Amino acid sequence: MPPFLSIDIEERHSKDDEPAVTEAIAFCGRILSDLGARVVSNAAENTFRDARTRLFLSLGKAHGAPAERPRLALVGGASAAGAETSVRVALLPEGSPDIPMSEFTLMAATGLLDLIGDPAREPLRLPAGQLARAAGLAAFTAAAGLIRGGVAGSAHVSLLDVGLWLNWKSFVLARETGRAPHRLGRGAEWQVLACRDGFIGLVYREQDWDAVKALVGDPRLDDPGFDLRADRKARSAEIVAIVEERIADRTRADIMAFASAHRIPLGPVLTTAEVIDDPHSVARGAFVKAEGALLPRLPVLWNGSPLETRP
Amino acid sequence: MTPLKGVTVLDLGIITAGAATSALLADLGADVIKIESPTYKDPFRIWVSSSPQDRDKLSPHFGATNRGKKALAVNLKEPEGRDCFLRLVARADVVVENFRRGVLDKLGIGFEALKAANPRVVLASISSQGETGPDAMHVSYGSTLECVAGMAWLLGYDDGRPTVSGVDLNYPDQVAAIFAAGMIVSAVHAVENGAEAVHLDLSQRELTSFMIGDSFANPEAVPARGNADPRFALQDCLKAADGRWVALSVREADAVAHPHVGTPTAAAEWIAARPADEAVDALTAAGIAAAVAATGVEILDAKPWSTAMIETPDGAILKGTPFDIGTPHADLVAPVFGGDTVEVLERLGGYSREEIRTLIERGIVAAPETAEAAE
Repeated sequence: MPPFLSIDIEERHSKDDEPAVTEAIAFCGRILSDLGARVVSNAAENTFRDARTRLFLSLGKAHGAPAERPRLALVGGASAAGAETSVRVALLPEGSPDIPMSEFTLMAATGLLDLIGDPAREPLRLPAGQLARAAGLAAFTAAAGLIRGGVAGSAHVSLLDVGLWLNWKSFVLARETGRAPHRLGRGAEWQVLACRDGFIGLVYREQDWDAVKALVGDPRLDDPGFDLRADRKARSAEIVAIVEERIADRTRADIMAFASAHRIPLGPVLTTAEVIDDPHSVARGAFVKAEGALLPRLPVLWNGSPLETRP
Repeated sequence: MTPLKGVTVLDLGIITAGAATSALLADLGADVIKIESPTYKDPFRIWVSSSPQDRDKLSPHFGATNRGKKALAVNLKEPEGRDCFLRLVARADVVVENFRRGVLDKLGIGFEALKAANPRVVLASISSQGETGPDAMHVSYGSTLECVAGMAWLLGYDDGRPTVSGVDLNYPDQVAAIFAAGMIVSAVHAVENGAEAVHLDLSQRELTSFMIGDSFANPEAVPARGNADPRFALQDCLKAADGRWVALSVREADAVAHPHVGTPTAAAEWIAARPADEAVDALTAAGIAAAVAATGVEILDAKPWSTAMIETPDGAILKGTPFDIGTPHADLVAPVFGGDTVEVLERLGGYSREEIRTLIERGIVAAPETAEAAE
């Protein structure tokens, strides 16, 4: 039985909410709906960036007047604070000065942009909506806490804090070493390389180095100057060039067969279409039909069974 | 507010995803007991450094992710250790684990064993690819999952190849902890309202796909990489005169009202003509969202956080919470290995001092003195 069956939740959007705040609230509401809550949303048709986003974030919700006394309200920072139990989402923490921000500029302010891309080119954001949706997850966890605790009051989620929380390793390292990670492009230790039929994610741990060398089969990697991880990191671009040269004629399946046998955490880059049809996705029923599309179900199995997404 | 007051969590979580999940539960008020073995400690206790001379340094990553927990050391490979753990399970509410699939059953503490010990237990299994399926045993890190979940396909320059968030962010690991904590709270609520024991099979791969769920509605579409957003006339990073990058999101109305950022070319020229801070000040004064693409060092200096991070009195930087529920953060100190073994066995397990002494002598559990010997 879904955990929040029959719990009424109001998803209250304001036209003055920033798009990222709207998306965070809607993502949180979508999860709560999949967990059985009756979520009523006042989101307008044109609230979301496109029809696909609206479909994905609106599944399972009702529209119209909310329950008379919802157990919990999900509201944006632009709405007036009420007396109800609520999770409030805003771009910035409570009491911050009113500075114009967007999800993208918050990724810049939290250091996330500085981590991805080529150092000679512009920094890159995570795929669209990721900071908003991570904030939606934080709102969900706070909401679950308020429901379980049976407590009144408000929880607050700011996209700024969520972005900083995601990027925590940068600040821990900066404190320890005086330096923080920075985007390295082709010089990064982990990255995506081209192969015969697409791309492969070169992801490996220190203990995997010998297996990576065996996969590549190039004597240049036997250079003692690659034996220490510190040296490999400094010469990542050389390693990447050698690996990419040697895997150019190999398929993702061929490379992954070796990786699986030798427990190297490589990953084939799958297109969105390939993800849906991938045998692992199919075996786990990871995608479900919704309004004529195949969309990912809530990413959890509850005693081995999925929680059903309502239409 | 302490929403999880009275909830006891046995935390078998290691490294980021599992340990960070339990840390959030501690911040929500749960009593979290980190369980390690005299033969296997959380690898995060070891400094993740690329330099051999740092190998023995205490890990700041461990401290940042395990504060506010107690620690018990018990050898789960020994039958007596397993019995000891199951005795604790009988008196606990939640078990969190992110071992390699199959390890829990091999140790004799799989879901059925836990359920036999406690018919109301919640087991959260946080794994890379889930409990089942052909790739369940494939070793994966966060960026592996970005590749197989479709996220890498959507990330990159609009004229380039797919890419991943990389070792320094490992994005799927971070969001997994937030979602897993929320699901555990939800399951605790269900059990308290009459549900039987719950096993949560939490696949980071599936979560990563769910985070980009709308992209599957039109899976054949050309991936929208780069920094643009259809809700803004212009959104990108542009280089300022001092070499720093300025991120900006310009709405249609602002693009019309402010011609110097009305087109990508005009904006690039205008920002290139002035230092980044000056450009950001002018843009934000005009009501346009703008910020410098900050480095980790700059952010550490500015400390712009509310709840996300914590600076201890001695200057250490710890993870806080991605939400503010008005609860003071749990203790700031991470536990030493096995530091609370005696207290936990006595209070939660109901063991006598004599029984505990025997368990220590037999090497089944470890307390600080014996833990030092195990270093």
